[in-house]
Order: sequence, then C-alpha cells, then structure tokens
Amino acid sequence: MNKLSAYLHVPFCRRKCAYCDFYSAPPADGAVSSYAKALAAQIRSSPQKGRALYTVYLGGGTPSLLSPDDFALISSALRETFDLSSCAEFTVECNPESVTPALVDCWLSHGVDRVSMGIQTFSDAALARLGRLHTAARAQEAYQELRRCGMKKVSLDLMAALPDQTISQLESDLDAMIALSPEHVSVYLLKIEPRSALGREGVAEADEDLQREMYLTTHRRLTAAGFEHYEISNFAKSGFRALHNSHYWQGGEYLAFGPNASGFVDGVRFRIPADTAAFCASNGQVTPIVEDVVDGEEAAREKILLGLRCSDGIPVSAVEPEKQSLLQPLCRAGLATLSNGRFALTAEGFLVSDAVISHLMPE
Amino acid sequence: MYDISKIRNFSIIAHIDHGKSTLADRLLELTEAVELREMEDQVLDNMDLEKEHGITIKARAVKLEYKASDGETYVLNLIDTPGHVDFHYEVSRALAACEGALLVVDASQGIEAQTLANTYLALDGDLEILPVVNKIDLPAADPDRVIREIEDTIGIPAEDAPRISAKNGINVEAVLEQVVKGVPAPKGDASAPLRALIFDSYYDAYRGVVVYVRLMDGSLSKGQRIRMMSTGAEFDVVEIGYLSPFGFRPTDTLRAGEVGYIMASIKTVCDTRVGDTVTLAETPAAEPLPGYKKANPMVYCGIYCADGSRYEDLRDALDKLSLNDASMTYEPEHSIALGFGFRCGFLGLLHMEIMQERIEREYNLDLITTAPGVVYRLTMTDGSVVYIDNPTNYPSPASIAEAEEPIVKTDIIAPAEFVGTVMELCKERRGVFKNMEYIDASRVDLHYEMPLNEIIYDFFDTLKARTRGYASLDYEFLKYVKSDLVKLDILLNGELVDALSFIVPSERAYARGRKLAEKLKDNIPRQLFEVPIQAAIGSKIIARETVRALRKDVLAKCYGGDITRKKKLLEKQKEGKKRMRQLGTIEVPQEAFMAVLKLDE
Repeated sequence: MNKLSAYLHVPFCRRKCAYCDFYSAPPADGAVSSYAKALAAQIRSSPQKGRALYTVYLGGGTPSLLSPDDFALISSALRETFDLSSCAEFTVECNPESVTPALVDCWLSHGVDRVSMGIQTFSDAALARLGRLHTAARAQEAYQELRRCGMKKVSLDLMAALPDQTISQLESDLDAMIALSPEHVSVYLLKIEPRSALGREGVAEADEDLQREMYLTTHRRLTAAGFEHYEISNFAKSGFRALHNSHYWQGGEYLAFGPNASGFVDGVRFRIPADTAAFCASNGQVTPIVEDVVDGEEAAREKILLGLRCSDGIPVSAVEPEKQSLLQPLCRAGLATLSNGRFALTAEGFLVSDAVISHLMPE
Repeated sequence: MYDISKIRNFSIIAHIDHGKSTLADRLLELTEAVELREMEDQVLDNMDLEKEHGITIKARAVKLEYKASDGETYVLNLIDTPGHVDFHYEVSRALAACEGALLVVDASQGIEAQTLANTYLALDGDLEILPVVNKIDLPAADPDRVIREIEDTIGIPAEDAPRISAKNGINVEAVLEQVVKGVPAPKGDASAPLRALIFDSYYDAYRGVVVYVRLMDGSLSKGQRIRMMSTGAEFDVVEIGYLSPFGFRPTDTLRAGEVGYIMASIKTVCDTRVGDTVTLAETPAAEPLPGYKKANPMVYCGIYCADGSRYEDLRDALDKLSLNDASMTYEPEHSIALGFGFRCGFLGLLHMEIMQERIEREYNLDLITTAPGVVYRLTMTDGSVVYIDNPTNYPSPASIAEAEEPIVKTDIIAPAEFVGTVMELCKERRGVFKNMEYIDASRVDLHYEMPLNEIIYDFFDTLKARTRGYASLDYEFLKYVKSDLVKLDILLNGELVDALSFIVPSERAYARGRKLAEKLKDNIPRQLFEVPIQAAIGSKIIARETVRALRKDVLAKCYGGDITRKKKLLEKQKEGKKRMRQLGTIEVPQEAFMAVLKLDE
C-alpha cells in the first residue's frame, strides 16, 4: 500500500493578513465548534477508513483558533478512523498570538509532535504593515512556551522581500531566528497577490535583483548556521525535514478534510469545495471537485515539477532523452548539478526554477 | 446588335478614396445593369481584402448599356484598373484595352502621385482623358482650383469636366454623356486575324482560368482553338461571353472592339499572362499586339510557418494562390533558424503584404517572414553575372567584382510646406534629386531616383508620418546602379542566424547593425542563459548587445493545494514557448525575426 497522509484545513482567521488571498473568514460565535463537528464527521466517513496515516498536517487559516475541546474532537475522529500507530509526523500550524500553554499541552497529549509557527519578521513595524496580530516580543514568548511545554520539533516561517525591506533588515531577521534555534525554517519571498490587501493598495514587489540578493543571502546565512536548503523555500537541521511536505514533493497520496483542502488519491487530484457554510450544513458530507487526473504522462510532468523543487533533484532518466542536452549547459551556468545520475538545482537554479521546469517538462 | 461605332471602352483613374468605386456603382445604377436592391456596396471590388485595403487588386470589367440623349443605345465597357503602385504594368495593359479614361479627382484634395502616374500612362497609350471633379458637395470642395490644377499639370482642357458627387448621385448622368461623346469608338477590323489583348485573368476552382480580353482585331467564337502568342500554348474555347457585375453572360461570338471573357479549360494563369495576345491557332495573326512583358518580381522575402509542421499546408497555399497570380514566384528554401519555407518574389511591398495576409487568412497559417529584399546584380571576378534575391546566398566580397542594386524612378507629390521634410527623407534614403514641379501654388511633385532597397524599408510609412498623411508616392523600376554593398549578419550566442542576414549599403551598416542589435535585445525575452547579440560584417563585429539571464522566476510555495494550478501555469508557459524558435539553447520569438522590418521607427 502507498503511504497515505492527511491534510486538514481550518478556514478561519481572526484577521486576514495583508499579503493573503487564501480562503478564510473570521469565525462567527460558535462557528469554530460547529465546523470542528463537521470536520470530525467528514473524517469518520472517509472511504479510506482503517488505513494507516504516514503524516497528518493541520493547516489553515489559523488552526490555533481551535479550542482544546474542538481539537480533541478532531483528533479522536482521526484516531478512531485511521491507524496512527506508525504516524511519523503530526504538524499543527499556529500563530504567535493564539498559542497558549494549555493549547500546546492539549496538542501534545493528542500526539502532535511538530508545530509550524508563522513569525514572518521580527520587525514590529513590518508586522503591522503585513496586518499580523502579533509583535516580535510575542513571537519570542510563544516560541519559548512551545519549548517549555516540550514541543520537540518547531518550524518557523519567515518572509523576505517585504515592502521597503533592506538586506540588513532581512539579515537581522535571519539572525534572530537562528538564535531561537528551531529545527526547521521556511523562508518565502513575498509575492504580492493582486487580490490581497497589499495588491489592492498597489504595493509593488521588490525589484528582481533585490529579491535575488535576499534569496541568496538567506541561503548563505541559513546553510552557514547548519541548515540544509532542501527545498526552494525550506531549510532543516539534519534529520528534521518536513515529512508531510516532502511527501507532497515526492508525489505521495494524501487525504483532504475541511473546506478548500486538497487531496490526491488514486491518481486524482481533488479539492473540497471552499464553502464553509455548506460544509457545516452538510456535516462534512460534500462532493470533492476533481481538478486533475494524473496518468502516466502527467505523473512524469509532476515528477519534474515537484522533484526539481528539492535539493535531492530527479534521476536524469526522468528527463526525456531529447531534453537531456540542456542539462550540461544548466550545470555550466551554475544553475544545477549532476552527480550519481541525479540532476538537482542549486540555490541559483531554484531562483529560476519555473523556467527550468517548463523547459524540462515533457511536451 | 454588333455596331463598333456604338462601343465605348473606358476606365477610371482615381486616387484611393477619391471615389472610383462609388462612381462605378452610380454608373451601373444609371444604366440599370444592377438592381439597386441587389447591389452590394462597390460591386467592382469583389475581394474582401481589397475592401479593407481600400484598393482594387485585380482588374474587372463590366458591360453596360446606356441610352444616350442622342437617342442611340451605346455599349459601355467599364474596365477597372488596379489602384496601386505595385501593379503598374497591369494598369498599363488595362488602359491599353480602352480608348478613353475618366480622371476622377477629389474636389477638396486635387491630384495625387498615383493618379498622375496613371494619367501619364493613359496619355502614353493615346487615351482620351475625361476629367471628372468628384465630391463637389464637401465643405472643403474647390472645384475651380482642381480644374485649374488639372489643366496646369496635365495640360488638357478641363472646363467642361462634370462636377459631380458620386456618393449623393449629383450630376452623374453627365459623366455617361461625356463618355459617349468624348471616348472614341474602337477601331479594328472584325475580318482580320484575331488579336485579343489579355488585360486580366484569374483562376476559378470550377471553371479553370477565366481570361478577360479586349478584341483588337478579328472575331472569336465558341469551339475555336486559340493560341497564346508569347508562350505558344493552345486551348479549345469552351465558353465566351460578356461580363456582368453578377456573373457571366455567355454569347456565341465576340468581335473587334468588344470586351469579354474566355474559358478554355486552362489550368493556370501562368498560361494567360496579362499583356499577351490571344489569336486563333488555325489563322494566327502575324504579329502580337505591342507592349507585352513578363512582370518580374522586385521584392523578395522568405516565408515560413510559425508552426514548422505546417510546411505542406504553406506549399498548398502558395500553389493555390499562384494559380491566380502569375507575378508571384516561390521556391523552397531552408533556413537553419526557421526550417523549411519558401523564397517568394513579389511585384512590390503591397503585393507582398496582400499575399501574406491572404495566406494567413484564407489558409489559416501563422507566418514568419524575413526582411524583404531586392534583387542585386553581381558581376563576379570571373566575369559571370549573378542575380541574388536571398542574403544567405550573397557571395563572399572577395569574389565580387562589382555589385549593383535596382534604382526606381520615384515621384512624390506633397504640399509645398513639406518639401523640406520630403527632401530630407529622400536624402536619408540615398535618393538622387532629379527635379521638382509645382502642380499649383500649394503642391509640389518631386522626382527622385532612389534605391528600391530604401523604399522597401518602411519608406512609405515614414513619408506618410512626416507629411501628416498628405504625401503620395509612385515608383517604377529604372535601372541597376553600382553600389557599395555589404552583407550584415546577426549572431546569437555566437551562432549566425541566417534568417536575420541582410544586404545593406556599407555606409549604413554600422547604424543598421547597432539598431538591429538593440531591437533584438528588446524582442528576445530573458531566458535561463545570457544571450549575446552581435552584428557582424564578415568576421568583424560591429555591434554588440546582451540579453541578461533571467533573474527570478520561481514560485515560493508549492504545497498540496498548489500543485495542479502550478502545473497548469507552467504548461501554459510552455505552450507560449511553442511560438518561439529554438536556436541551440536560445529561444527566439517570432517578433524578433520581424524586428528588422521596423528598423527605422
């Protein structure tokens, strides 16, 4: 049997961040609880009932808005429906402002062993501009709370190329984060989505050369601090790569629970409709939307698309023979490496990975 | 009843937009050849493209019957002429089929260069010129000035010229009376051996080639065997007849002085060249009619399919279009950059543009065309003479003793205030000033000798732009003249791109090379690798630009829910790349190959 993971989506945020165009809404009174009930019901009615889960990831939105009771409800549904005895990673996303020791204790007691916290920056001015509800001091505090409660694996998110950010400001953010010594770090170049608040304000993305510089600075700082740059935006201390996300990049299968969650089972990529009211009203019994059917040809495309995002790269044989002539020039240009029959992008290559991927994907 | 004294063969000479087609419509209406309700606007122009370009490409002819004020009924054959500079020769043959021509001049604008050129052609052919002043109802109309202008410039009396508005049907009848009175009846001996002048022909999928003729001597009947005097090709006449705006009206016999059509199961218009003489195989005429010449292409370019796999479709399109156009030539060629395509020859730039559009539109093909070029005459060091129509085949300078380029006689009519501007432009384009005439106090006719090579590089557009649209242009091949020419090559990433080579006077090479390199830099998108662009003459690099490598093209986040969207996005991006040409590791968009066409912007 293939490894199977599960992604659970919490479609609520107390406030939408200025850079976000994702599906989420502020929770009405009691909405979170009734949502948790529907989610639990959807889990219990899964056609994959009884199978072992390799990883579980509770993302959002803001999963830390779930109360300990709500969380317990969902966790029990998972445990009673699936086999979690060999679950290798159970991650919950959270925001610094909503994390509490009680909540962390609750997560730990239900088997959560990894937390991914969105810090974004240690500059209070920038946090305010991004529409975040926390401060740098609160982020530090929350991190310490996680550790004090005994959370073993912590991943922190940072953003680069923020409006008006300088290289040295980014460097201090990186240093502050390294000082906390998390096991895992994600750093994202800020992308201005047209429908986000920043996009509507007409804020422009940083100059390409500056973004490039920031990306490479991040790579250098974090690798020097002992992190492995194992995916375009992800860095891990040895042995702490994100298993759930790596599973995505390896083309693994995953179940989807909650509105707007995506899944991939039996060669079909699908999405739960992004309608929280309908989801709750039907008690989680909604029909997923099929987005793509991944047959052999599509799988070959996805292998290149996903594989080249990772430092492990792809076997040379995954590239069509007539396209292999491009591999050497890419290596000579410093964008990639070829060793032991594998082709992988360097940090410079990651920066132009979309172009490389679209060249190498089969027609 | 056949009565040669009651026949009037005439054409209409007018500048674009001066109302030729509208006047033709009114004449048809008045002679009741066309029922009003059946009438489409401007019946003589029956190709869509012509309507869009506002010009007439192929000559057509219509037979009208008109009861004149003298009580007699006359047969009026209206022969339409192409209105553009590229079709000079065809115009001359259409005029040769007539005894008179209406010179239609816009009452608000006066005479234009092409009108004048065609009027001189008509005068050379001893045609009676009958001036008509059109658009008299426009607020800016000044018919008196225009009449003086006609008298001063052409030297023919014009005080009796009908003053009309074809659009609003004012005084159009006077034009018909003028035709009856002013155009001489044809001369010709119906009992002499047949000599019929071909003034147009076209291919029809159902009927084969339809030949339009004016019988000068003799007569022709259905079933007779005819011979084309220039080629000797013979055919049996299947059908002859007159031309109505809505189709063919078969008849048994055509006689001297008449205008009509011939169908004889002819497969290609190459056998029915405009200007050739049709005679009877059994009793041939001793001499053909004077004036026949084979129209030779003057402008060449490479035509390729954007989608290389459609080469056969392109061949098919050219095969079919050539059935109808004897003046277009095409030969297969291969370019390293563009793959398989054709080297095509055209009478001029407009002819080229029209044919390209027809291929794209009627055959649904996406084309890449290389820069148009002219035919150079080279005398080699071994004494041999070669004509080069493709820069790729330009020999190494060491083997050339003398290079010559075609020079055209150029007439430009412009308002006097633009004389300086026009002279400056012509000087920039290596024009040699011959003389200048004032048409009236406000307009000037400038005569130049210019290299054709200069005219095909955006000259007309530039002329129009610099004279706010007022100048008009006419040109005609004159001679070959010795010139200092070099071949300019473009190298991308150190590799020569054959499709971008062109021939240029050496004094222009540096400026053109620099401009082209800059243009290419703007047209080639950033890619994974840096792209050095070089312009070179032989091994000497004269300009250099670089397209920097892509700086950033990455999606930061790609988790479970992003995969499908990302894949679709990249596939779309890939689809866009299909429109690019892959040269080694470099991708060159189609526009880059066209960049050379717009160097002077």
